[in-house]
Amino acid sequence: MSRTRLAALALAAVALTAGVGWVSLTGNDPGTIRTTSVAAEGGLPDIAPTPGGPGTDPGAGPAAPGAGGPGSTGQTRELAAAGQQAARAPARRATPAPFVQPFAGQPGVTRQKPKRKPTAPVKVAPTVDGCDRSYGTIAQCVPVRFPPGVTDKCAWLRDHGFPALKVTGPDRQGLDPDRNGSACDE
Amino acid sequence: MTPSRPLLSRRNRLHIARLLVLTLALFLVLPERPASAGANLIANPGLESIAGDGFPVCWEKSGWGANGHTFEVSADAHSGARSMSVTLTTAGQGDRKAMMLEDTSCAPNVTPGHQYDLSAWYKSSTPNTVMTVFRHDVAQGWVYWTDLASLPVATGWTQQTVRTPQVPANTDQIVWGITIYGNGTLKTDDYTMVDATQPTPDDSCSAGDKCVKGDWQVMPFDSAVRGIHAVVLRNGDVLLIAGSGNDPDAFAAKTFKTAIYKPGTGRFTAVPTPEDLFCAGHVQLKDGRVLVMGGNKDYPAADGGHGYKGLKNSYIFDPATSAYQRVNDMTAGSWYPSATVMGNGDVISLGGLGEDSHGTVATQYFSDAQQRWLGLNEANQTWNFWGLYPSMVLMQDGRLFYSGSHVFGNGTPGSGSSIYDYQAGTIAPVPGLRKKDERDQSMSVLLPPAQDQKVLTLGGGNIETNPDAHRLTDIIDLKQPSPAYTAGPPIPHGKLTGGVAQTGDQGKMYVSAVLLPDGKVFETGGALHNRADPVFEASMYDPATNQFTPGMATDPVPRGYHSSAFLLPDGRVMAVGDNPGNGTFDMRVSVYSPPYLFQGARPQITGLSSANWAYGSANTITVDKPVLKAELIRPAAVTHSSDPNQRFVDLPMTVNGNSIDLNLTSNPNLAPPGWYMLFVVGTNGVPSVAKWVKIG
Repeated sequence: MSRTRLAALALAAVALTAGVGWVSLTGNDPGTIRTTSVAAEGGLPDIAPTPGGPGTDPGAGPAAPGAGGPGSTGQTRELAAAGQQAARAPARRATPAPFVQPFAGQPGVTRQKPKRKPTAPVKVAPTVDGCDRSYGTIAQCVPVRFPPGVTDKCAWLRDHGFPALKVTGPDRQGLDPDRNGSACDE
Repeated sequence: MTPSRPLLSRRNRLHIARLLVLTLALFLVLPERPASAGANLIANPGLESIAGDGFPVCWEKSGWGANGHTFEVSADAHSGARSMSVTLTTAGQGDRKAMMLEDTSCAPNVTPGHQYDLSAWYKSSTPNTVMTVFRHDVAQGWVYWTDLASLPVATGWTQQTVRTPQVPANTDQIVWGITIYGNGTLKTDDYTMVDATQPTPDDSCSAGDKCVKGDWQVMPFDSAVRGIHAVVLRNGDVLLIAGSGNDPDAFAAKTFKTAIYKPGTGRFTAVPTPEDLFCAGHVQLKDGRVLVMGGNKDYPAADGGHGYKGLKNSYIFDPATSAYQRVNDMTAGSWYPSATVMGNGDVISLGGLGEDSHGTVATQYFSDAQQRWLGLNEANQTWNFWGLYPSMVLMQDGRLFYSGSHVFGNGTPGSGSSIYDYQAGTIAPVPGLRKKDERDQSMSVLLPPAQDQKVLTLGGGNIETNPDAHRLTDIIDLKQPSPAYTAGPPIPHGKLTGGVAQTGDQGKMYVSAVLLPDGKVFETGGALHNRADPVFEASMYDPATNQFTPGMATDPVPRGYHSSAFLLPDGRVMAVGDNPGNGTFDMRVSVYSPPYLFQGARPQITGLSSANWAYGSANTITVDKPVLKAELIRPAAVTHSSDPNQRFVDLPMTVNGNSIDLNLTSNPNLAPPGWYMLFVVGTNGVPSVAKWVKIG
């Protein structure tokens, strides 16, 4: 046998060993066996249980639309014995009941119970939006209280784009010292 | 001289070439080893070793509630000689599960940031099962982490595999098991857990500052209407509702406006608006139409004789017809009402001002099944006044968490935050919210993912006392037995008009917080005082680390009172509105591209098995590249820093190459029915453009 043939044989042997090893390794890999839910549905039993029969689940939520679809009415829907695969078209999976966790129980916290229907209205100040309606239009908002540190209210208003404002009510903020009906016009 | 024989003849070379081709072909046809291949991290995965108590080594009987149940080691095994069997006979409250032992010897070790494929073989006669995971926090000990997937009924041995989200920081071990909470029998065997962490592409970003700060663009056109209310529609358009737009002249002229904005084309379409829907509440119904409730019946009297008055009118806006249709009136006038969609698709509205400008104390309930507002006596009443736009977040058990975020008002009662049980008619205080009377136009968001049940409340002020708005954030974990707000990191400082840097405790009210598809929260806009002094600042809050990344690009447009920011289906953030005290209104539209949009190619959702998803189902998508996670984000319906329905619902994945099953929670309270934006996020952290799916 020539050197060339020997080399070729050796190369083939290496390739074969590598291939077999690879396949074997892959076959043992747990991550490669994946069952998607779609695949899992392929052999599922019909999901609507017979009342009182095996598999009845009073806690289960309503079946998904189409569950137990056409042709399934009246059939006995016992869950097949373990390992038995139903040979039928894929069925839609049952809709599980909502799984709710027992969080935030607030033990020991006193709960306020419903009040009596109030006979008097809950009064909310007309200035609930923080605007002094004595000045300008309703669209404008001279603050009921100016921000901390503001000493010259008119300067603040000018700096914030307010034009001269008509005084429409009591001059609570002292913005119209000359009482000409126009605030911050000096 | 005889010519020497060449080392390799032509024939030899041909043989060698054939061999090389054969070898190459052999390698090419071999199945590709998955990225997730690795050691099984489960101790006693086949349940074959039995401890002294007769139960498999490293496993324990677990669960809670008053229910009839039995645990047994069964000879009906997938492999080997044993499986675990749990039977519930009188389900109703609680659950049972065989869990891995929470000890250092048995619990699998994990690495924060990694993802794991959890797999088990099972048989189940009930659909009421779910894969549940706990994690060991190095500071808190063992805590609930999440529920991954419902398992379909299976009569034969079936394998279920689900990939965890990225393991949170400070986690060193996890345990998991399959929970049964309905009558039936669940058998499990042959558990595996393998590290499925995918490599992060080494993409370098070449977009300069945008790589870390993102980028704002001010659109070259103005909004057609004052964007005081913004609702992202199921077709990706944006409904902008102005009504009179806080313009008494428009009110007097009965000029009420709405427009549909199409982000793809930048075009606006006017929508006839039947009433003054300024200051209404709004939320998407489960069919994608928008329920609009209340609005402005009248502006305040100039003489202070009365304040704002609320309408009782209610309308449904249909994206299919681009028109409002009136439904029956609410039971009370509603100016600044809350609107929260419940797990059954009904809507609860609380608070606001009535037709007489007094506080509305009625609990107003819209029945989705009947498509009408129930009468006063048909809804459970507490006769409690909740204030204006109270932020009511739906909890996973159907109760409402009042976060303390509100609009206007002073001297809020109690601790400023509570849990409201509509069914029981009770209200229980929740402690810990700091500066409860300075939470006017703060913003609260249910943090990603909704399964974590954590709420973040940011900033706020007080329009009556008008202090500097603060920078406090508070976080509450609604999974705790006795939830209480705890202090979060402060909002980063920004700059005021003229570039003056904020100092000390200065923060912002009118703040917007937007859930992004990468699981972070973009915080933007705001102002320091009542309708004055915009704050130019934006930051990124990461729920996984509980930290802000400061210094995001700032919207060049001031965004104070009557401003909103919200997520678009393409992953960008749109901002509208600003209505300072001088009565002007900023009509500019700006759009923010987060840093992730500069980090590389976007993953594509190339296939969607169905756009209608049932609770507890697995829904197959195909993608063009590996993805890190998938989620549903409920489209915005926001006004006045209030969008309590905003939520990000994690979709645990069952990965099979480019085909991925997305497992939707069985609990409608975690994902109330309706249309959602489905995003996947690539391993480079870049989200896809959303596909629309309908839940429930």
